[in-house]
Amino acid sequence: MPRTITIDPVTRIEGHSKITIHVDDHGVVTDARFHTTQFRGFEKLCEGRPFYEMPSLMARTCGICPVSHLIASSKACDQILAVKIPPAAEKLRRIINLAQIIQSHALSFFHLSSPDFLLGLDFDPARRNLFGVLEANPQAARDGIAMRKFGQRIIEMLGGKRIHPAWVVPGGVNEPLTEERRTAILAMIPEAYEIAERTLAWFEPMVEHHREEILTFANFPTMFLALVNDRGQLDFYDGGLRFVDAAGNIVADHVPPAEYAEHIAEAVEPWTFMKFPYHQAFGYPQGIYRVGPLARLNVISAMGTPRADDAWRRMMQDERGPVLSSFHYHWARLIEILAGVERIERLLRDPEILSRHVRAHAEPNRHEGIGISEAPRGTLIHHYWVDDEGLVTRANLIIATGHNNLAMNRGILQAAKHYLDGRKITEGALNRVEAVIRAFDPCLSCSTHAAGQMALDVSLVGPGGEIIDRVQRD
Amino acid sequence: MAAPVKVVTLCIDGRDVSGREGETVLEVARQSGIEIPTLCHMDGLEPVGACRLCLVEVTGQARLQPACVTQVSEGMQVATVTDRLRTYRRMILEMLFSERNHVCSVCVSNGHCELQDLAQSEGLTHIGLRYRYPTLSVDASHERYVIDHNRCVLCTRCVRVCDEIEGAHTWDVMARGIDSQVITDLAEPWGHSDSCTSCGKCVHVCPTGAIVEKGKSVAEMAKRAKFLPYLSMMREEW
Amino acid sequence: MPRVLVIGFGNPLRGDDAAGALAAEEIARTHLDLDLEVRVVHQLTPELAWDISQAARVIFLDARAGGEPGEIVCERLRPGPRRPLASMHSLGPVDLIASAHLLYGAEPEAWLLTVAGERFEHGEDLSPRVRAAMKMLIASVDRMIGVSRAA
Repeated sequence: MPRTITIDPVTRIEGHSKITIHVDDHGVVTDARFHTTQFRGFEKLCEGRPFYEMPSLMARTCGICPVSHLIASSKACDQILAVKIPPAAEKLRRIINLAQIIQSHALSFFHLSSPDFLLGLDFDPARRNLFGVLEANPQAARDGIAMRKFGQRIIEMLGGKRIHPAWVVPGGVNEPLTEERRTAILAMIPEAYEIAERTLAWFEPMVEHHREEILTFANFPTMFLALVNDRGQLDFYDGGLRFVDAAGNIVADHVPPAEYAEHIAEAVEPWTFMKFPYHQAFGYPQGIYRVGPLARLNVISAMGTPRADDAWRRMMQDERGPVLSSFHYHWARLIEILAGVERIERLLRDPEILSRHVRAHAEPNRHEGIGISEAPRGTLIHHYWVDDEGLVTRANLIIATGHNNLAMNRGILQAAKHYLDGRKITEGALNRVEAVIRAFDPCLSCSTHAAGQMALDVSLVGPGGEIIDRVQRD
Repeated sequence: MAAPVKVVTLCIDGRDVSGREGETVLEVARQSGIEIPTLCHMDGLEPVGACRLCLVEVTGQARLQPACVTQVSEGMQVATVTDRLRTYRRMILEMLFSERNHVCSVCVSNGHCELQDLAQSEGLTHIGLRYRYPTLSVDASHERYVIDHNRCVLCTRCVRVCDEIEGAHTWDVMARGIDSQVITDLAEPWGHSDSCTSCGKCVHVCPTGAIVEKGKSVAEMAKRAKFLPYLSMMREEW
Repeated sequence: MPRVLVIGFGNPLRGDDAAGALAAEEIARTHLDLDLEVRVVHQLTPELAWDISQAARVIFLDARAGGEPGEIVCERLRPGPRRPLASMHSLGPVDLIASAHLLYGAEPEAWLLTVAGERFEHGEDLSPRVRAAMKMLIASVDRMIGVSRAA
């Protein structure tokens, strides 16, 4: 008799979601599904609005990473204006984008995921939490806080103290950087280096202790997708799309953003609002690919900054070819934090960064605009169509969690098959299924703070929908 | 030679004040440093008493009177701050907010909006009425300006400034009641208007983000309406 | 370094859940005291522990489920004993106080003021009884910090 095990909702990720694990008569796991219950319809909301409102409207797709949407959206608008934005504006946008990535990675690594690799997945669940981490390594906890503050302060200094900064605008940014603020940000750089390198030195030896997780954490062949610059180096802001396969061969390279749709198509499943993007040439679902920190580090030819390049080479030596296990997302995040600090420093030391020319003005000159950038969780695509007057007629968004949707489902299935015997729901098994999801760090953009909403609910459901077993924890 | 001006004495909020005959309660109150909230009113334009925010209580009159069109008279007793007035003002604001689609957070006029300022000064943090969410259009056909009917409060400042000051009378109001809408020429797209001189006065008198310059991002559309009294003054002196 | 830190938290798109955040916004808007720092956040995040460690007094403002809608409860928070956490995303005020203590050795006087909510569904509006309680919530904070306010 097939049964369904439901884990609802996943704790410690951004937003609200539900997992069902389907088992057959013999208790063998046959399928796993990651459900998103939220549907915000942002694409519909944009229709009829002037295109230049898109960045601030789109920033509200998410209270967690508004800056990423601002960047991709403004880039799409730049294309509608048909302008090349002033160089200082591009550099400033790069800085705020990197700051966003750093603060987001810091939360994910230090606070959301660290219990998993610091304490282990079979650790007493009552203590496998923040205080477990604080007690096990208070320095890491303080470092996590300091790193997050580093990113947040930069965002505040550039974009203001709001949750949704309106500083990034079509055509550039709306205020130049002052000398005073540049000095203030530069003063924070040494501590940021110190933390990033200290944490890497602490994390790298731990990888050995997690061999089993590494083998089962969404460790399967997929393609990877990320932006690279013209030299094939990491680029969070611009460049072309590169796909590599599971063996590390480049499948498509320097794909101009305007041609993304020739490579990426989206499938729809009846049980979730989220679409399933796949690589067209390989079909659905064989065209599975991953985006995000790990994908970025897998597709690039080099990081492009000295400290991050060293760290990247150490990670790549750990496995041959592209790193396939999603457990390495955590490692990748750390390396990207280091790369982000290096890049922010480099951009700030460029004298051009203080230029007062930071915004290009134009009328809408094109009917279509595509903006692609790298958000903390992966490649973000904003695509708008406008009429003659610049009113949006259609919008398409492909967010990182969307790109990873297929891989995330396959990852849950893999972990469930390995750790669940299909009859009993063990803590360790549940933690591993959840940990797979966390490794992808999906952002479901709904901030479910409302009291009592984040409990864990696990159900074993029979073929007729009857609940056979249920485990709940607060 | 100008006719002699008759001065009247009246009492506003317990204070004895004086004004010239023919002046409105609003004018006299503001000259005396008494603030009465307004929205459709604008110095330099003919008052119309449309928004009802400036309602005041006049002793001896059961109905509330709009201060912007009520003339002062000898011995008048006026109250501008009472519980009844506060309740009405808040109700008017709640109706304005719920009638169309005012989404401050993504509005180009966020932080520079008279409707928003009024909500703050009247202590309005939430709307108790059900939002109507009407489907309204945005007309971006003009080369430089946009009208977003979602954010229009029908104060008719645009209509008046265009008619009284610019003399173009491009703007007018169409239909009645809840279906009312400001229009350009004979409800044609603004960009097709033959009468519009593209002077931009309507943009700067508009109290909200309804009529704005194209290409402004959120919170960037600050209005400059200070020009108006000078313009009317110069016209009168000609 | 602020003497008093007010942290209002809640989701502005979840009805009464926003009560604490809205009250904090109002306090930020009307208080003139420079010794006061106000944070308005969707949810509590770990780095707030650092801000807390820098304050002499911390006041959390939140909505709560349960109780007569609009009812305000004030409680003193202390760093221990530690309760288990299911989720970093359900980080509570006590957890932050405890973190500030454990990580930075700080022990500011901490209070939690909650107003009982009625509706937590999607929507930007407070329910009438919670809306009516907002003034009292703000006044309670006023009394606790005794600072001057703008008109």
